Amino acid sequence: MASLSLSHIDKTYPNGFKAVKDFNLEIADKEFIIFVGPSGCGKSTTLRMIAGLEDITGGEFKIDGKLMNDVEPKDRDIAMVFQNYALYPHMTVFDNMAFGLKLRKVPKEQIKKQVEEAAKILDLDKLLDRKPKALSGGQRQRVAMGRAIVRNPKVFLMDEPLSNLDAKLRVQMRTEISKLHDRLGATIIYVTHDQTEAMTLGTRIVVMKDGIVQQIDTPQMLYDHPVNEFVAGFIGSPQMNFMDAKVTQGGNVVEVGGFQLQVSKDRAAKLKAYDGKSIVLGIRPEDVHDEPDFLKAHPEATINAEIKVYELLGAEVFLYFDFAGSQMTARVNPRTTARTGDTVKFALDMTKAHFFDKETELTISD
Amino acid sequence: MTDEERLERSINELGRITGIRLTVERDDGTDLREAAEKLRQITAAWKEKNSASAYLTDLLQGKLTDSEIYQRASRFHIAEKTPRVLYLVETDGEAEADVYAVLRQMFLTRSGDMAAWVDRKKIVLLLAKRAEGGREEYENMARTIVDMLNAEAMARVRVAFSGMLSSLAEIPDAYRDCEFALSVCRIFYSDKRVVSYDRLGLGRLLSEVPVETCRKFLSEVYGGRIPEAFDDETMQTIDIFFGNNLNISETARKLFIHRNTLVYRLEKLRQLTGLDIRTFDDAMTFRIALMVTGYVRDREDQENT
Repeated sequence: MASLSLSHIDKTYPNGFKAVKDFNLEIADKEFIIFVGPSGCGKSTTLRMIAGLEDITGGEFKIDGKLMNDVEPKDRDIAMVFQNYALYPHMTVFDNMAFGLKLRKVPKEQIKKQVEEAAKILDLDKLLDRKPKALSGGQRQRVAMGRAIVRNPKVFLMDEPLSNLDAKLRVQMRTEISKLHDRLGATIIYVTHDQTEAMTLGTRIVVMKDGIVQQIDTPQMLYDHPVNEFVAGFIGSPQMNFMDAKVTQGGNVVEVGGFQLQVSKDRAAKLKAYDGKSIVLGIRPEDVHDEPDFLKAHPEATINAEIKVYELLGAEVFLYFDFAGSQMTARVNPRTTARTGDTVKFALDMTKAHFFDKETELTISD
Repeated sequence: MTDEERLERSINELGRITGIRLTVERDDGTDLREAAEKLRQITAAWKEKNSASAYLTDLLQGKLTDSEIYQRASRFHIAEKTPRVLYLVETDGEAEADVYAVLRQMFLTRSGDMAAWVDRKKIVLLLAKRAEGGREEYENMARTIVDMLNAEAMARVRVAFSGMLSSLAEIPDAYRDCEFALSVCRIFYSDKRVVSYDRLGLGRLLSEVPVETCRKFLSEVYGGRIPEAFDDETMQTIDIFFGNNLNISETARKLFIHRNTLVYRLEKLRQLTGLDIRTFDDAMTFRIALMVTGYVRDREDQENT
């Protein structure tokens, strides 16, 4: 397998469109890296540059220390799995997986060995004689993966491989891909717009927007310590609640929608420089509480709001309400007595609150 | 096999495919083996010229009359009225055998499907109607073609697609439309890999304008001092400014710069071009001027090569 280095990578198309700007990333051997971001953020373009399917306008891309900028896609020792895949309909599973190797004039015996190995990894070994029409959706997807695996590449590139599958199959295949990474010990770069996929699969996640990397970190660090409002809002489902707030009392209190919320001591120090100024307060839905014990313990950070929608999901309840001009979500225990139309007292866990500079949208830190 | 048997076989094969029956009168010194080889070559050339693939190439290039279209189609058992969509696949380099092999094996799955090389960089696929569905379905197929050629043949490709064609006679026009779409895409939408003839936007209009008129337009816009190219920072600023509907605060935030820095950059651009892109009219003129500049450069490059 391989380590990759992307240094100051730019992509500008001949029509002047800048798709990727100053992309920097070091990928270690066997890492599972996720590129995530909204449509048009440059994640697929970056992947295609790694594959050699797009020219790199500026910067250096290396695999195992070897400069790859001008190396043909075929000579980069990579394999790709895309969102829009098709199988050769008249060929068996074996031939579907073998076709790419045949094109590369790999000897027959070696093809047989590689296909059988890949089929075993993917639990397709008993289906090798079947034609695609006799396979389930998940099995077909695995055959498409198998075509990449048989090449035994240094790096796997996957561009939204699950987005054409239905929700149930997507969850199932997500687990399969995770297992596959463990079994192959491969370096994988995976592109998705789905933050749940990103959080569950990646060892590290690259969050992109408008062609610019916003943050590169582990899923947990991205969730707990987003560097800006965009990352905070993009990572997490339901997304983080944002509301305009004013810093007062030397950073010890933030005023929101007529309520005064006490800021925890460590965070107050960060807010000192913003005394008297407007900021954005962010709080995740699970940090908005309605349990009596929490309310009793945190009288300094309570708000009242009327519930607009009550949504029971089985193991949890989402309560939607308007507060300080924003729509908010609270993720609470299903034993809650709150229902649509009730006015409910909530307490915000201010030790978990996030504060953002209103102008730059960056997280306010020391 | 004796030379006589070999010759007899060649004569029979030629007769079978052309209807021409030859008889051989020979002296003792005739080289039967060479005669058989010549006949085999004539047979192969005839086959190539009269193959379904050659028919499709002639059809695409508009070389056939209406009656020839249908006469030759029936000879190759090509259904005249099968609804089909035309996909024109263009490779960045030469269209290698791998690309053609993947396309044939993966996508020619129904009776009525056809494929042919057009030139060294282009392959046409004519795919019979798959399911009920319109443009979206054709676009998905075009995306699948791109993705599969990327993954299986590791080839960089761009695909243009037509609407549904109800008869063979519509194919030449659809092919010309797709060729045009690819050329517009190359110049104006170089970031796109899939293009439809009926979604070319401003690029369609601009590519029909004579180059000289474009040069006059640019001279008018920039007052005779057409900028060679804008630096990366300026282009990024412009991109994001347009992308955020000329909103200064939003653009400054996205660029992580102070709004005064942005205003300074836009002012510098105004001094360079005479256009204040904070106003709608100048923004529109500048956007069109950028597209026209790309078009003129492309045409100049083509003239030079």
